[in-house]
Amino acid sequence: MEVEVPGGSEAVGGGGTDTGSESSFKVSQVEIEDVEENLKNAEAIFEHLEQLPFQVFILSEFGKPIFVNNDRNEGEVVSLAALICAFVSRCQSWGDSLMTMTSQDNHIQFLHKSPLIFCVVSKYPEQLDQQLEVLFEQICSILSKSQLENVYKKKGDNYDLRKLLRGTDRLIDSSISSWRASPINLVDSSISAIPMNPSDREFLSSTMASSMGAAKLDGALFGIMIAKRQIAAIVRFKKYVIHPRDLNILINLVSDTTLQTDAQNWVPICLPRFNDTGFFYAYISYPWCNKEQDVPACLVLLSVKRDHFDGLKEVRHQIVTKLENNSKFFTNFSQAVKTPNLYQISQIGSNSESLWSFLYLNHSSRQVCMSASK
Amino acid sequence: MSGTRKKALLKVIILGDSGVGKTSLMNQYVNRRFSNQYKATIGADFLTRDVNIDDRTVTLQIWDTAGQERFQSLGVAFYRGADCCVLAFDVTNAASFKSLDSWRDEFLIQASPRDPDHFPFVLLGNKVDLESQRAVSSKRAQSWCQTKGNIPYYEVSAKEALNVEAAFLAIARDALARESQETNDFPEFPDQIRLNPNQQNQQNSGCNC
Amino acid sequence: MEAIANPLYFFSNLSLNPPSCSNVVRFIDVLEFFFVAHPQSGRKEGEEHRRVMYFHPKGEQFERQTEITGFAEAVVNFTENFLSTCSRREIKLSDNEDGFDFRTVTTQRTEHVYIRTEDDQFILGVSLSKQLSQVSDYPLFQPAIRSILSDAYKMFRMFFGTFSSFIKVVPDDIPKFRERLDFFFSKYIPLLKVHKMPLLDHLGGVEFLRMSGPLYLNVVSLITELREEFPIIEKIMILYQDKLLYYQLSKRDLPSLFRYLTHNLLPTTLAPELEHSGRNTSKGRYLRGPTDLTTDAPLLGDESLSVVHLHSDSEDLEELIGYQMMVYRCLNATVCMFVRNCGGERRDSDASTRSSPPQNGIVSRRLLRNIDQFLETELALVASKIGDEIGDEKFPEATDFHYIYFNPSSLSMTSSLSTSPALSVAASGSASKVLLPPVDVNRLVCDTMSNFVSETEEFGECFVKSSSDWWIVIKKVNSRLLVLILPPSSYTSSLADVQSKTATIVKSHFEAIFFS
Repeated sequence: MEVEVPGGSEAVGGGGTDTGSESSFKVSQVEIEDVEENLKNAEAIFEHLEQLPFQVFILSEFGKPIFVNNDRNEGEVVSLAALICAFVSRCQSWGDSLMTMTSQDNHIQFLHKSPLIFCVVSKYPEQLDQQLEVLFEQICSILSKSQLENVYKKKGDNYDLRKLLRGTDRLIDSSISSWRASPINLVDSSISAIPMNPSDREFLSSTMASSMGAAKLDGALFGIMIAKRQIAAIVRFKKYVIHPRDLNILINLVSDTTLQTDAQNWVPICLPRFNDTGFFYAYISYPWCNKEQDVPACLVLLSVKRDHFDGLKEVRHQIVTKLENNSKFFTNFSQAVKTPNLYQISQIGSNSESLWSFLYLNHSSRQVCMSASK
Repeated sequence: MSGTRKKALLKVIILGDSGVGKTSLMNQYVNRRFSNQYKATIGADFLTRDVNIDDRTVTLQIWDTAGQERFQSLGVAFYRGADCCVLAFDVTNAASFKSLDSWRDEFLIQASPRDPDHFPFVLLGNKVDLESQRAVSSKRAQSWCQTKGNIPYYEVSAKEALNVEAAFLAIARDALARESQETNDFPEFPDQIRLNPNQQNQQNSGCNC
Repeated sequence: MEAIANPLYFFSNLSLNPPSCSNVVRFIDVLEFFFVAHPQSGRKEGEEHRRVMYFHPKGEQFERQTEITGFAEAVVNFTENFLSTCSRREIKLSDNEDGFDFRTVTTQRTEHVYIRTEDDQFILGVSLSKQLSQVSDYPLFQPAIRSILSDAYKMFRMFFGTFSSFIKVVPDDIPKFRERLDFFFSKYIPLLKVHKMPLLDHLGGVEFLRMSGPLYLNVVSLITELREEFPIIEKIMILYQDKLLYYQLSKRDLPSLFRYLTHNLLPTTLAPELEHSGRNTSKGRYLRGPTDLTTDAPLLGDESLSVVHLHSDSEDLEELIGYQMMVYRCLNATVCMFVRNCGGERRDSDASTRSSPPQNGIVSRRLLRNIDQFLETELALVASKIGDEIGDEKFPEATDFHYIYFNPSSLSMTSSLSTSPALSVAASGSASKVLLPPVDVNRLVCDTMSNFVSETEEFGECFVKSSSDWWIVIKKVNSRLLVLILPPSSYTSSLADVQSKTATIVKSHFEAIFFS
């Protein structure tokens, strides 16, 4: 049974047969750079990727450090931040704008988005500019862009933004780690969908849609099922669309392990691509995050109204019940989510010996998928 | 940097004519600095020093600027966001004392602090070990300080690091006092998203539902 | 391409812009600034401007010169923070092999490259404007800019020696050093032209003439005999028209010498010759140096020979040694002979147009006469044989593709995209009848090289199609590099087509050099 490439293509070949058998869900080994051993789960890969050397600095445009992602000698960080500010300012005084510095084996990228300066030092030059933009959007999602811009005006240039960002280090770290964990998502700002068979996804989507619709919560706009940093399903009210960059921010948010309990969370979050001045409220829950079920899927319900907590709690209950009641679905779903299937070369029907891996990007749907290597 | 309360950080600018001895003063006070050449190349040396005030540790981010006219093109970027400013002159050099007014004024113009009248300054009179060559009396310096809103005055020399330390402690304490007057901040979420019925996002439809 | 075939084009006439169809761009048309800095001189507070040894444009305010050079130095220091100790060691080692320690800076409007030379005592820097480059159809490719900057330094060093050799006593020697830099760079920079295909400047090869076996042996035996007759000659190189035949000197000096001869010395000194309806005199003569060889008067002033500073043949030695250079020409062939310059200080106290050798230099008029006697016949013989051979050669059809071939071990490079100073009116047969590639294709070639073709691997292959339907093929065999640039055509619409076309081209044009 072929696993469908999500994103709109018709079912290929003989559909209808059961995909539940274990044999058709092989987890391929994904080799990442020069790692010898097989890193089978995302966490280990993540950890390994995090060790790749790069340093990120966030500072105010007047030189005060706000965030650094490694445990460099703190005194050094403070001076470095001032120096970074000096470089950026010097270029500005020339009517220009500093972008990069490179040496033999280092690339340093700068981004000045008033009132902040972002700087990353990396061994690898790829997409550093995108990475900084993503980081800026992450900060905006915590504070909203308008609040960020106004706070220095209201409180003075010497304001210490760390006060407003207290407790969010994790989120920022997670955003930075995601560059390595899902680098392909930076390509054209795309999202990847977790492989599921179409009928299951259809069931999931319609369940979510009907439950949300029935609740008649005016202002509840989106429902998303996320697992392993990928999308299982999205439902939305017709007029409104959610940008992949915003989705990636949500993915970072829910990937924070402290949220992965069966408690429910009501988190204000700004989605800058949707609206950069206001806040959504995200109802986040991991319904099956317990010893018996242990399905690492996360349900996110987004509303613009602060007082929808109770309503959305009920929606969640509806969705979870209906999904669990369909045991066939639930089994498939659990399987798909726990051990995600990776696309195989053979699935695109190429017999070429030399084809090693593929990457498919659909511009209009903004979805991307990548195969395991051969 | 962990999630709990971080060390307070103060940006301190040091101003004064070249030759008053800012560098050697700083060398005394700060045990670690980046290479000296930043002053000659980008316009300032950047130093860090932690001080203890009561039982809090405060990090001072010190910008030891070059005393030249030409670097004033960077004034705005350098001066803005400063929590306090240290003015330095050489007691054996009257001209360096006379420059203080313009340094202070220049700073207030470029930095535009919210409360210029109460902005924390400190005055350092350096090279007091050369007593025989003194050209500016302690009294004269102090009366200047009084006219400028009672700026604290410290006589220092590169040989007597102690007073330098006292000066920085004073300025840190002053700046810190200002800071704690403000209430704890939390992000505010007052801005509700208003959904415009005609709202069209620019991108193409993008979801697999 | 008629404008290029006109030899007058290469002379120092600044008002002559390369036509927009040309394959070169005047460097100053894209240049924002160029500088030579000596950080040590600018340490004192208030005297930072003293670090500026040379700056172009000359009219730039001192303050800005100081800011720019200061910024560069600060960038160098700042990036040091992030170098691990082992890469620091590595860089020191490779200082003179692959190139100098460098930094690049990109801003919204410009691209900068800085290199450090002579134990990091000096910084040379350049900034190119993105907007001006766009207007000139010049793709900004950092490795090429780095090579251009390095070549500028090496050219100065070849003529005047290292920077350090000028400033033994600081600050006393500084004004002299500045004056010398000014003398050289204020001519060099405005005259400098760079290829619209930046890869050519980055590879920095020299063009050899393809000869038959026997003919090549003739050349080699001529040189051998010459050196046996005159053992005082330590290094030598021989060209025919603007192509290299053979050389005996350090490979490290070859590109600079070759460029100097073909872009500078030969075009300027041959102008009168070519003006007269292209007929060369059969008598051999020296280019530069004395005109009257009949006396035995010492060679002084205008009649003295140039001195160049060259590397020793031993790869390990870094030191440069001064040599007097004799350049002899006969029937389109040029022989460059180098004799060690012994004794005395090179420099005098007043600026002269070139270094004058000490009065007790060993190159005398007598030596020149004797060499002249020898070469007049022997060189003429070989030269006319060469002339016959290439005259007989059926000019290969102009190609319907563009190419670059480079052999890193011999430095041999040929391309349909390089400038050919066209010392002779006859085309050398390497012309292409295809229009020059558009700037996006040139850029794509460079990007493909940086991203997909490893410098260290000996073998490789890469096919790229541009969005304007040009195909680029890059092949590496035994470290030799071949780049083919195919214009859009119905014969090359699929990858399979391109692969077969490539095979055909290699067979018909490159078999001999590629696989031998």
